[in-house]
Amino acid sequence: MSSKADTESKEDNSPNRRNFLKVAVTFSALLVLAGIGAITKAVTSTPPSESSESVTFPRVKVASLTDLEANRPIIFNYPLDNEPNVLVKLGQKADGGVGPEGDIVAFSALCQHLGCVYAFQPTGTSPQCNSAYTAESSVGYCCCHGSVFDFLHGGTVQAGPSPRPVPQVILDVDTSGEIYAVGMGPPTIFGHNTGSNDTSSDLQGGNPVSTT
Amino acid sequence: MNRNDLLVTVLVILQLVSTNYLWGLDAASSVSQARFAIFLAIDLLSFAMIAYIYRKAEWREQTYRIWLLLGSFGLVLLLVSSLIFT
Amino acid sequence: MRKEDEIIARLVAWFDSRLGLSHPMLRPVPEYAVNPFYWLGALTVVAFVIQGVTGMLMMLYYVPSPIQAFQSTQYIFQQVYYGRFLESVHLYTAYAMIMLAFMHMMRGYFVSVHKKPREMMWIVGMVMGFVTLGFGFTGYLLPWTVVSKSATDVGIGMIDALPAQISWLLSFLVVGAGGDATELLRFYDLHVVVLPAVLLVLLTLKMYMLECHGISEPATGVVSQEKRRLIPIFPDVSLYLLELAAVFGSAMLLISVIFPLNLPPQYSPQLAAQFTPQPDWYFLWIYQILKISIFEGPGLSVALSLVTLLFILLFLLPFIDRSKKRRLIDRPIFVTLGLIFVAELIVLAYWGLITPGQIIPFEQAALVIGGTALIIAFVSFGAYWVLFSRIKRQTSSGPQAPTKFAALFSFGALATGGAFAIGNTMNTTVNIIVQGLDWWKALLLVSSIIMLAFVILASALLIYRIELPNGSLSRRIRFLEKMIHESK
Repeated sequence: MSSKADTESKEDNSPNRRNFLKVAVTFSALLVLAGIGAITKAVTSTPPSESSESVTFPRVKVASLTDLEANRPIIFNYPLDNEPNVLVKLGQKADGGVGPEGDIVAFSALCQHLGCVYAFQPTGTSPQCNSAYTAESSVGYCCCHGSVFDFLHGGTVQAGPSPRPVPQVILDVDTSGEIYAVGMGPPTIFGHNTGSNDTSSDLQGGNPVSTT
Repeated sequence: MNRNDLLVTVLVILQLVSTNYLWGLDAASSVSQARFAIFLAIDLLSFAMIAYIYRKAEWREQTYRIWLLLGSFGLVLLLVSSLIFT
Repeated sequence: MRKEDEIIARLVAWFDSRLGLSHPMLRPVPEYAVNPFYWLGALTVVAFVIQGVTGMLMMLYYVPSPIQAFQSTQYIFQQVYYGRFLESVHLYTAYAMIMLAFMHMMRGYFVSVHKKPREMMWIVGMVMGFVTLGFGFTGYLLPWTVVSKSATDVGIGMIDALPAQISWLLSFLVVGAGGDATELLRFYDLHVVVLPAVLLVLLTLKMYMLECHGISEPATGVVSQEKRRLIPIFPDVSLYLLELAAVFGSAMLLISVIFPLNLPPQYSPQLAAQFTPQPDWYFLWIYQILKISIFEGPGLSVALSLVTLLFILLFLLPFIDRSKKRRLIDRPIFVTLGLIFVAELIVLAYWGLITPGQIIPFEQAALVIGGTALIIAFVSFGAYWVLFSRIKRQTSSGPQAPTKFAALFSFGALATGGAFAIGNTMNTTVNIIVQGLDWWKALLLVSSIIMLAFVILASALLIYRIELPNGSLSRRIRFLEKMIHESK
């Protein structure tokens, strides 16, 4: 494409034309900005709905780093004051683990099968209710029907009739070594719209523990 | 008025119509997002063409017809696609 | 003048004088710089502005806590007016920003902007590049999906595997005392406040240096007087920038409409266990290097140190490439190295994409990485030898030194390449005989035979070139002998 052949005819460069173009360009730019303004207005005028109300889990202190020994579980209630959870320092890095070695985890102590309270079983030990079973790694063992939850991998089901993993408590460690429970991961705790992944249900049907 | 000035006027009017349309879109409908993008793009491309014409005028140079043609073609394409989009 | 024209003229003059629009402040730009290649950096900044606008709109609804991150992101996607559109524009413009920054760097490299007096501009620019990658890394985590959290966990794991001092510093900055909530909040803070502030400060610094040093000379070294004509920043050059920005913006809008985003599922450790983590495309080349078999286990630190070393070398380029030569013709080695770098990045990234989670055997990696480098080197040096030596003889500017270098390198490269190709052909043949044929071995055999053929042809070409009218073979050999003797 040769530049000469494609150009427009001689253009008039009078001040009038230049002013006209200056005004046109400015106006054009303002219109573009107005267009961007339209999306700002639209976005900010989204009406709130139920799901936009913040789902705030209480922030509750569970223990201090110094209180913990490997494989000695601590039972605590969260997020409602009648629902047990188990917190334990596993001694090896686990999914979702906190603390300097990433080995401190906590899970809801209610089995996802029928809601029995299960217990933590350190590696190599057998539960009192079933001496035939020996834990191959750090697990939660439910005496009711034999569900086994893998504490190293987010509470996934290793064996037994539980249809889904047990929910993990979201922990946070602050700079002074205090461990806090700050939320629940999916699925919901047994009895709260069981089987759903919407953890806001965990806060309904009881009294939340107060924030400490 | 020479040809480029006519084009500039047409483009400004096109921008006015587009911007007006943008403000009038029903934000709740899902197809609005695509329409918004198309008309804001029309807005932006019109501005680019007007700026190009002005810049070449300032430099006392001649505009290259190919860019103006490509730009106009793009605008027409966008306008047509906004109608097809349901 | 007609009355309306006079009114417009007076209006324009009023704004002009009050806003100082015609006041010459920034140095004017030569006409050869009104060309998109000179504006890749500016477009990166335009992309950054788009990110700011879309980001600020999304900040109205996003909540950076592990429980609410996904929920609020989903809310933006589903409920917020134009939410999905905003997310799509934000992601695609992020990708564009990283790609533009990379193109800006490579263009600068090939045009020799890192040489005197712009060494500091290169270094500041490299820091800005890291900040841009940091934007990508921190932003990726925020939706808290299976994809994003898994990839970020891998990334944090890699940071921990860096040499102790660096990893301690980065860990502390990025992850804090530990736990998902702290990490997410820090990433959010970095993404939304710290990195933008740092980028803006660096940008100001770079713009100031640009004002001092001006636009660099083009790489061809030949610029006509007409093209040197200076053009004022306002309104002319600013308008050019706005034109480019408007077209770029439209492209981003349209891409977001044609390919609207879908949100992956929420992160949970159980879901993540079934999923092979993969970093975002701009980190795929690093990921691919780390997947090479010799870097498994304790070798991870070695791999990361190598990658860090590469970045440091890039950083310190102005002190490595010290020659005063700026034209492409005069820089065969560095141009070739640059081409190899780009080619390797593309090859490694694509390879990483098609082999998620798979360990790469060392022989394959050596073949692919080495092969790419050798092929590019042959093509590049071949081009220099054939094309540019002819031009240089005509223009006779500059000493014979590059030709000497090219000659030495060609001989060296051919010898190495030949040995490699012969060795690999023999090796692959033996492998096939012993272990049996499969698709991969067949491909290896064919490619090593092709490489061997290449080496033979290149040697023939080299000998042919030497035999050209300008010199006979024996004269060239005597010349080489003299060269080797002189360099002793």
